[in-house]
Amino acid sequence: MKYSYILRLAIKNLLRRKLRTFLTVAGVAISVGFVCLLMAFSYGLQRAATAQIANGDTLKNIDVSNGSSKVISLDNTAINQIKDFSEVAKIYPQIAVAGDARVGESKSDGVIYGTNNDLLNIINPKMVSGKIYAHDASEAVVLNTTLANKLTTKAPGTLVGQKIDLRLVLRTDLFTDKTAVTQIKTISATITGITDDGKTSYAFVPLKTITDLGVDRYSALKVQLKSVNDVAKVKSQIEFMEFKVSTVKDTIDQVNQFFQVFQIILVSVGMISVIVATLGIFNTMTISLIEKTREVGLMKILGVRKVYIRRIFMTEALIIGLAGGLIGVSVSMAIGQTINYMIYTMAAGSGNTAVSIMYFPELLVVSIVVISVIISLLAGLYPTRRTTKISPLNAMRYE
Amino acid sequence: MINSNHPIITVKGLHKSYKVGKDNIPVLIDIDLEILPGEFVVILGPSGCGKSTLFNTIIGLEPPSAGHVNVQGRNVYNFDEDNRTLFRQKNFGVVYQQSNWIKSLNVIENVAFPLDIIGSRHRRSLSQAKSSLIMSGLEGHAKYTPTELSGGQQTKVAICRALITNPPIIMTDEPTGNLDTASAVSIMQQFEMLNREYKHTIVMVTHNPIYSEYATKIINMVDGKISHISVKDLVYGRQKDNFVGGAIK
Repeated sequence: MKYSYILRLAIKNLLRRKLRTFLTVAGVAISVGFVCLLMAFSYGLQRAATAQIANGDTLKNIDVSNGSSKVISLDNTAINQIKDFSEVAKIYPQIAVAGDARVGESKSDGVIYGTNNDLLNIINPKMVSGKIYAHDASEAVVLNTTLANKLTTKAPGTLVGQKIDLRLVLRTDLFTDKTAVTQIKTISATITGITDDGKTSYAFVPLKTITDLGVDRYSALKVQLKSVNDVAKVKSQIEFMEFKVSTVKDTIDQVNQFFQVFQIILVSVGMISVIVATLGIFNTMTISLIEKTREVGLMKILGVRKVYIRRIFMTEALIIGLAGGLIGVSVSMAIGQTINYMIYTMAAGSGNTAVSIMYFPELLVVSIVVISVIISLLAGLYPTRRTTKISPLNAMRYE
Repeated sequence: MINSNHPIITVKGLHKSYKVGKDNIPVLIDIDLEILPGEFVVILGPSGCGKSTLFNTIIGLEPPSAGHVNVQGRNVYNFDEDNRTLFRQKNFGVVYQQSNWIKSLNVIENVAFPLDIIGSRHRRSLSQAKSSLIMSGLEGHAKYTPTELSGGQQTKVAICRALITNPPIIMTDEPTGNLDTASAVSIMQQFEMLNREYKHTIVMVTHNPIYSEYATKIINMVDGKISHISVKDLVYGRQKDNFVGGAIK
């Protein structure tokens, strides 16, 4: 018997009992569609969460700070050592100094970060007013709104273009020179922009502004790699130098780990509905077998070998599973896109950024269809095996 | 094509009994018979004489308790179930009293079914089935569901199905049982034609003695035994009767 004929026969058998076939397929579709929706929701949240943490190149970055070691510190020697790793593309140093800021009569404490324009572009703070200073700027400052609000009673934006005096407390651990003493230096600069970021007061100044004061130890480095794949390797190499290392990838791994647990819970819930659907297929196949006992007997008498009779039944089960899987996935994708669209319009209406909370990765879609085919084959297995045991003569007497 | 000296079916020392509770109920007792190619054999006997069991044993559906059945020189029960199925498909066209159908297929698809079993192209099977239906005058019913047809028409379609793969032997169990006289005569004439014109060997099981007139060999059965075999000598138009046990009438 050709497979094309078996397929034709299986389809005709299913179409002969349209309502029953429809109900069974609907059962499969609803159950796998439900699982698909749950998973899409989880994937959507996961994607939204990780997108908040990292976008594109930030995955290639490693953050290095001083570890517990009192001997090793982040100075130019360390930078040069790290620069020598072939995987490293670029290093962005940063120095954090405690101090205060004065505009006219107003004064407030805060942290002053010596941060170059290129690092600021990576950090990419949200600017509410003005802009980040240029890469060759000197005597320029970017404040955050928390600090700006302490320096003026008017809108933070009004400070842009004004003069500011920064007093920096340079402690001894900022110098490689062991004879250095804590000193206070004041610098004058112009405010170029205000950023809406952070709860504590801080300001960014070009790194050179601080290094010009003799500081030659850094608080942190952002090490950018040529490839994401080298993150783990370089991370362990720098850790070996006794610095503290954290990567965006670590954070994302933690988030993913959480979602993995979340997904296992969702899948377990979904499994219940899948089991019910499997029982549905099992029921349909068993009834269909009982109904076709005579037919199976006839087929054996007419010369159909057992393997082909089994194939006819298995093909029927497979069609139910495949149809159920495809319909279930399509419907759940349609529902998911509708939900995304509703959130999008609601967000647009209220001026917020829209997040797609329903996300259907190809792997999810394919595995849902594969799973429904597998459960249908499993459910069809037992009834199909029973056809083998039907004696043609008894079947012909069966009414 | 037909070597009339070698039997196409040989049954030797056949016993069959069913276990009912603790008792063994014998159904067939020491059956010996030979069927030559081209014969029209009627197995005649009252109901319960074991003729249907003999029929099913010959087509490989009922393993005997003892003895053997040879068809075309092969012992049918030396095959496993699957190979017996294949063997049956090659050698026998089977027509039962009550026609059975693949319910999801229409008339023409049911007739074509044996060809589809052996994997011929579906379109070819259908065109062959169509010519077969035309020969039986049933082409107008090709798209019907088989059970929509009358009993006589169903039997005709069942014959078309049995013949579609052109098997050498046609086995039929009370094919006229449910039919009115006119339909029954028409069916019997069709079998006669298949025997005379197309040289099919025909084995028919019936309780009705009037069908003996179509036969070239009549096997009478009573209580699980062959009581009497008579052979019509077609050349001389004489009937030669044998009593089992060697006595010649």
